[in-house]
Amino acid sequence: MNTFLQKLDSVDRRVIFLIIAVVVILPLIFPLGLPVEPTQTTIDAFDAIKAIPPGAKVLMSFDYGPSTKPEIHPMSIAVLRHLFHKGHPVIVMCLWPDGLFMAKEALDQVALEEYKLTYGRDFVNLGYRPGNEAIIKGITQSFEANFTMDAMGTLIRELPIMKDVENIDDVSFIINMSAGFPGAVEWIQYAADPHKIPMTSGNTSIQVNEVLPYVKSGQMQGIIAGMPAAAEYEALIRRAGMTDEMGEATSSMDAQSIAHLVIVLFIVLGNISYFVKRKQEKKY
Amino acid sequence: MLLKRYIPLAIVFLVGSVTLISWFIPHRPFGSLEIHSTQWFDIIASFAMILGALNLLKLQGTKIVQRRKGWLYSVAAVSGFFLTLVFAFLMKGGHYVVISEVGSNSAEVYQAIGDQLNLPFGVVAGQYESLSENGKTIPKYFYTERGARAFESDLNSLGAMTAHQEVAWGGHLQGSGTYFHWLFSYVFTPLSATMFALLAFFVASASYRAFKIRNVEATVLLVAGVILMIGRVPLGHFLTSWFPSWLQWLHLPNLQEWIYQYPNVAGARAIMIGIALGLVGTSLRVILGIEKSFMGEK
Amino acid sequence: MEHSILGAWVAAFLTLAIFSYLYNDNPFYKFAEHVYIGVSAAYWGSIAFWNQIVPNMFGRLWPHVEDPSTLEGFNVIWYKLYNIFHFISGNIFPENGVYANHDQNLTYIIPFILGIFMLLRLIPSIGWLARWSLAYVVGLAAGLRMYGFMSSNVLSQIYGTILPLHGEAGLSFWQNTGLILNNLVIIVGTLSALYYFFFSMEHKGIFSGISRIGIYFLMVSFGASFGFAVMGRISLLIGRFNDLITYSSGGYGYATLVLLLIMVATLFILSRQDPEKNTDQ
Repeated sequence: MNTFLQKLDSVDRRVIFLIIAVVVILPLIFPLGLPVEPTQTTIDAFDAIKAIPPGAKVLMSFDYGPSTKPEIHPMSIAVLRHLFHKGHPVIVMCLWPDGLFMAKEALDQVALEEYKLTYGRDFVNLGYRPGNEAIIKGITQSFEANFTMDAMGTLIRELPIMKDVENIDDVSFIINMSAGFPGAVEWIQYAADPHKIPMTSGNTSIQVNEVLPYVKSGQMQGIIAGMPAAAEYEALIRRAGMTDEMGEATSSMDAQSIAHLVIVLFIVLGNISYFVKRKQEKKY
Repeated sequence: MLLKRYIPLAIVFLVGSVTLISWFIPHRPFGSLEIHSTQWFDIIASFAMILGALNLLKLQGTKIVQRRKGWLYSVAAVSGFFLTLVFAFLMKGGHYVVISEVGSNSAEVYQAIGDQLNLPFGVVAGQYESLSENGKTIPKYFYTERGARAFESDLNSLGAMTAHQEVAWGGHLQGSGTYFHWLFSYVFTPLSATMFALLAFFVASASYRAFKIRNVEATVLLVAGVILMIGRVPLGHFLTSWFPSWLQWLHLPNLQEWIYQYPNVAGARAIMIGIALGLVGTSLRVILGIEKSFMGEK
Repeated sequence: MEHSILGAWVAAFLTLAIFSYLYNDNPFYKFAEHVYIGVSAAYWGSIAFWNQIVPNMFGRLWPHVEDPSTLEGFNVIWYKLYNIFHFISGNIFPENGVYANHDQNLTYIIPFILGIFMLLRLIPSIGWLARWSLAYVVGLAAGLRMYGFMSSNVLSQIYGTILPLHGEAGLSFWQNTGLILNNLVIIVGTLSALYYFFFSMEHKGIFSGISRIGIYFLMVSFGASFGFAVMGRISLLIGRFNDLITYSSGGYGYATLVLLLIMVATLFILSRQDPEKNTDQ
């Protein structure tokens, strides 16, 4: 037994890769249906969006790309469903070039196909501008100076939704879907905090710890932290009767759960093997 | 010296201090200066991206010309590069049809549109029943003009009035049915996403091989990580949902939430404050010209 | 999203090619990696050009004019210069100026020149001109960030750490005890972890104890970060596998399965030809 445990330490890493691949694929093909229970920070984000005054304009920034799409896109879809269900006009912009495509995909699915909304009146996609935090700083002065035309080449001053929206102070809430830089941190530093505009954010799991102190200090209202929180937000909008759809994040939670369990088992096995080896070395 | 060192340092000082002052003085000229100075920054940042692209071309091109080891792969890199440029600047796609009048043969026209869009007859009829003066875009995009014209001629032969249009240059980057969008969806997205996803395997392998409890600190790290990993997913709720009410504080999601919101925030906040103070100091050094590393000098 | 069949095969091939690295460094992976760097470099450059340089720079230097005959003075020569751009590429530079609804602002010649200087980095003898462009970018970023970080990351965080250590009216004894303990954890944790980073004084005696407490809070934070990192990576892997499962269906010609079979067979043959490569790297 001891020899077996010692040998575990030197197992070919490709065996580990194969095990991970199998434990992720199998629950995707044969789902377990584990229930999703929302956590407090996700509930806080949901409640913050719920509390936006009726008819108020919301700014939503798509700051992620295809590399983080599995984590953030489901929460973008869920949040858009929540906003459109409440009837908020949504102004979309992107600080990442790939965000342009993510925004178009999400808006096509939710705004056009599901809610049959009118572009230019109910929502607008201002598109992408390079410049990172300089763009955020720029729109605190003027949207038009930075986004003269929307993503389709229409002048924004001709769009009904942009009427009476000169700068960031004319929006009531900021939602940022963030995968890194520029993202939630920059939105807080240059827009939400100095202009005292309520804000929430959906982040990749990696970025959560960087952003959590802002949540605790009240600079941000809740946070949608990674794919599990995306599944939680999907559960919340389902419970509120806004949609019947399961959501992509929810259907991935079984695979996520099993993969986490297996990695924890790997850590435990690795440590058992380490202790056995150390004991043997001390003995001799 | 003047051109290579002192003028850049003067630019840094002037731009940095004006930007900093504009945070405190929103009135003219600082307010309007801010709009344009950030625009200039954006434009120069865009040129920096183009520089990165050209630099890559230079490096890969040199490798091909000098036939260094692995030069064939560089051919793949350069080919991918030029293919993207062709789709960005020369070949657009994004052709579509705008219908302004359905005509008397409406049923057949709706059927033809429904066949293209994969929509049932009833849905199409509802959407195209009343058309405005400017017509309605049929959201089926063709990569070639020939494809769009063929669809247009089908509709015209059924009595509808149509016009062929195409996505404008500039809008073609994210417009449907464009070659650039195809490249983004089926080349860039899978490559980009898979590169990141690859790390999941290495994280698992590293957890197994390198994550050893050698001391108290490592144990604290491990326990916090494990509780969070299991507590944040549905499995954590499933494993401990049977706990009685007096043990609810040990229910994994509750335990995880407490660690996440309190001791974790304390540590993360300290790191955040430390980094911010360091950054403020470095920014000041840069503006005052003490830090010259951006110019390649010590 | 509707997928084209050709697109599905290309996407499945590139995904499996990158994953093949898990077996060993092989031609499939190297090919996909090089395609990635070529495509992404051109992609970023194209996006920057079309979304920023054309509308915001060229659109301000040469805004569209309906009737060129109304141009006067300097603008007559200025727009003749634009015609050269139009001749080179009518796609990028449409006739009579760029549609962007900006008023003409010739000060934007400065970022144009600084942008050209940036590109001159490619020529070693005059690459030093890029320092001027970098100086502008670095100076502006430093000025922007200093205030933002001081305000949001230092002052607001300190404010958020000043928490009450007394109970609230309307809460039970146990609720108030919990509230006070939680606030104490944040205050003690933040201060002790900050103290750990204070190296101007030797950490001895009682101060080493405070430092030690700080380390434990930092370890909890790092453990949480590790947990989130694992969570994030697994999420991305799930996303890729979802796409591969989609592409394995009959509607896409069983793309994933066919390509996987071909790759496995090829890698097997290659490993037989060169056994040295088939070791754990």
